[in-house]
Amino acid sequence: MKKILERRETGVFLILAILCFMLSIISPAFLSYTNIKNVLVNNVPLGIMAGGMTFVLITAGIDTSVASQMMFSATWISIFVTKSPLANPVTVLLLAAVIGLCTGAVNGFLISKFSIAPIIVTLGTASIYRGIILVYTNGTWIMNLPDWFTNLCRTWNMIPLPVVYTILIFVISAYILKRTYFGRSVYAIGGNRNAAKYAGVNIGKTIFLTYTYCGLMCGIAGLVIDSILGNCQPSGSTGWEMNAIAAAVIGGTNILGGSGTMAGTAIGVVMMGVIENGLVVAHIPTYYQKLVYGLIILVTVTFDVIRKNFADSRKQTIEMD
Amino acid sequence: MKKKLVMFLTGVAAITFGMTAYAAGDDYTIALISQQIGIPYFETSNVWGMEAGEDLGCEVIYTGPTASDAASQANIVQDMITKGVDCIAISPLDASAIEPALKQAQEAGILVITWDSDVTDTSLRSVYVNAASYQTLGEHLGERFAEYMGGEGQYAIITSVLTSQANSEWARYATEYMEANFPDMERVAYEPCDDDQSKAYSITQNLMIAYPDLKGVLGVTTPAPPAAAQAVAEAGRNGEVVVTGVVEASVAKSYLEDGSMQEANIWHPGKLGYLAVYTAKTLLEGNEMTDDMEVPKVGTIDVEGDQVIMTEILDITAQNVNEFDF
Amino acid sequence: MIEKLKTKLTLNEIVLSGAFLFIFLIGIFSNENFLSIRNILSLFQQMSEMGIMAMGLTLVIITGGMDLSSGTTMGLCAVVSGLCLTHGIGLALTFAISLSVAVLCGILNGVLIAVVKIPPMIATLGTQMFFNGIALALSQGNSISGIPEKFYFLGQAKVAGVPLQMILLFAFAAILFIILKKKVIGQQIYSIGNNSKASLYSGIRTTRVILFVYIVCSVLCCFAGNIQVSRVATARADMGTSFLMICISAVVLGGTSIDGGNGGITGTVVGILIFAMIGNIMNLVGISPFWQQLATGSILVLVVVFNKTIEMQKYKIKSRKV
Repeated sequence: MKKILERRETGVFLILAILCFMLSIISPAFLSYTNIKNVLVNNVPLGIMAGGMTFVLITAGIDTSVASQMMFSATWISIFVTKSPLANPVTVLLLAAVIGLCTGAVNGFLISKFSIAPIIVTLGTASIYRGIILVYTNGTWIMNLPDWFTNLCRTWNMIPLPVVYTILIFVISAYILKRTYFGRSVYAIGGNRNAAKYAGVNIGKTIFLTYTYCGLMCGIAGLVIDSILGNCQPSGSTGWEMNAIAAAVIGGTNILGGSGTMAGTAIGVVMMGVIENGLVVAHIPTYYQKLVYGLIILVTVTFDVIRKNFADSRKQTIEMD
Repeated sequence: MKKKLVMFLTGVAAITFGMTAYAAGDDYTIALISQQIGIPYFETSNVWGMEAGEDLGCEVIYTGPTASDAASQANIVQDMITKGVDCIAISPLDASAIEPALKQAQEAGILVITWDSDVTDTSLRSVYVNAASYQTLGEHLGERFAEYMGGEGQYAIITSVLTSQANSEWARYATEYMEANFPDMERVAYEPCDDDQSKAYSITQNLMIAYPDLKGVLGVTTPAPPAAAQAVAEAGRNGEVVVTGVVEASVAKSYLEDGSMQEANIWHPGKLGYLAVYTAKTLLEGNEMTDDMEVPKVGTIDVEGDQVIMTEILDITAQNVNEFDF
Repeated sequence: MIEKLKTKLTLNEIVLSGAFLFIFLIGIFSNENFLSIRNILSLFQQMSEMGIMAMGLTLVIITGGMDLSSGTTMGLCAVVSGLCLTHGIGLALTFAISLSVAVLCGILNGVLIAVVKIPPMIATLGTQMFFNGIALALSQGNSISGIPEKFYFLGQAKVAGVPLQMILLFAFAAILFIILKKKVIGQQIYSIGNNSKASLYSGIRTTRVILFVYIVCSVLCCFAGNIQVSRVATARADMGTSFLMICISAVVLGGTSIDGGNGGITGTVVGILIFAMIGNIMNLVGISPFWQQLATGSILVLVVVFNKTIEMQKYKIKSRKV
């Protein structure tokens, strides 16, 4: 019991629970199967991206190119499935993985090889990835993706498949983070880079792999968003990188590195989805929605930081830097 | 180091040559400026505008801001003045924010025409190539939507961003029309989708939950109607929830055919672009656009005062969707 | 001569000037109008708003912070000014109200960061949405037109042929340059960016300095907003929102380290100038703006990588000598 209370996720989970409770009073339909399914499915692409982002944030890095990477992958996939006779579920998944790995690897290479601040590299590559697909497609949509492709993300016997994929991805990611050498290196680097180095962690390689993994997640998110929507809008999803960062941070990932969990990020993503859904369900007038949205996020983050500072002030007596 | 320098200089030379080759001109240069590039609607205008340039033997430069940003459209106008184009044909993103820049264009002796949308101060442009005013399209949207709704029930409107003028005005006139003529209709929500179809899709789902009696969704921006239709279809409520709005035939086709969307109301954005270039060329040559004039590829046009008016608004349904090429 | 230059300029300054010259040359060769006085003045007119905002961000970034809300602060101040002006409030009072809103925004950011100790990225991500929300609620999403003509001087007037905002840009640059290089508070800003804990222990009132920096940044955003309102004679809630990423890129391109502790105003101005020139040249030549996005990103990555490569080589040579 005590352990649960000490966990960072608990606070956010409580806020989420209170929010859901209030919304269910305002509108009984909020807790209906359809609404819950909608909230979850619509946030699957964001969730997968935020999953990759969690790895990056734990290393004390940041990836502002996730939305561009996702649409980069989504655009080529949609062209592939509409044009190529080779397209089938296996090749599409392979393509998504390869594209994601490539875009991620470019980020990882630039960041680890030249030790440039991640935010700069990813700001640059974000414009590059987005620029390439916009120049190539002229911004036109790719319409009418085939049925077999959209069926990959349908609801099967009341079970929304994209949510299943996401849970699977999150479980694997959590396993990698907690149980593998790579995962522990990720935490070590974010916690104290020099200590990690002296402990024998290969910093460059780990950083490279982290961004590549994040890219892989974005590639898959691109596949999923195409499949959910049934067409592809290359100029879409702008600004989602900030949502992905916000989701991870709300879920308790420390943006300064060293801590964070996949479970927390999952809660953060659901929280973002619930707020967006709740603003409409609670009939908040359009012009005030963004205000309320910003306010909830500010309050959540402030609450979390104050809680953490309080906990730290009781724990630490000697400060070492 | 020397090797690097040589590479560097070769790079400069290559890019420079590439650019100068690009800039080779014809007799008249017309800048066709849209509200935002990369939107299917304006891309259709782009393709037809370019075709008009080829047909009429003048150079057309199609450009516009990459995001819905009124100030950057003003920057583009300034750069076009500097470039020394002969005509600026613009669809203003904001009817008043563009005026100082257009004033500069006029002072520089450049012919200014507006197409698609107009400016507030009409003395700043020679003619307005008009498909339908905000009011005409807005009321038409309201009328068609109300017919499918049976003149009663709750409905919602999905717009692009709250700061977009054209979309807001269409929504406003549609709402006013329905308020005046169909007192049993009630607008319960007005939501922005950021011109992002995935957001439009989730908003429609949210709306159907928030308002269980919702009977219709009117999308006044291209990404909204198809996304709304898809959400309706997935909820298994085809026909129960009416979806109409502003969208191109090619994008709407599959949704019209599966019955999740009832109608698309739009004019031909390509022909409008073509007509804008045609009008610019005619005026540059010192000729006038006249009433009932036959414009190739566009058809007969009306001229009222300083407005060149194109054909009526198209009502695209499942029956006639295959007749349209945009 | 070259040796002398080498000792006077830092590596980044050399690379940056190289990039600047490179693009400048492309501009000259690709269009005969590029060098015309008219174009250069309009280039400065277009870049001033972005430049002023980027200078505020430079200060923030030197302290190791970040202000993601700067774009929406600009939009909020623009809407506030627009509403004041269209409701018949005088110029002086309008400026005062708009500036106080900016100061409040800066204080909110500063308190969240320096007192509550929320990481700057996160605090300003929240206030970004919050400020934008207020601007939307105030303007109801409408663009506010009918700004009285007496307000046009700020963005449309010319003093001896030079646009007023260009003079403002250089005036702000000069003031900030002096603050950063010659004043105690400037030293303190660098010191906090290098090591905030050490600064605190050495007697710097870090909370105050950080508050000051975020307030200055908001006030500069307010100026940028008012200039844009005056230039386009309209106020909109979405003004400035598209500036943010370009401004951060320009600050970094200008040699300010994103981790704080070094950098300066001059570099930022050159950085913004480079991005403005790219857009201008592409418009003059008639290349689709989609290429601009590609070019901006590529230049950012190329310059930074180029910089680092030389730096690493130099480091290697030095260490060998030792």
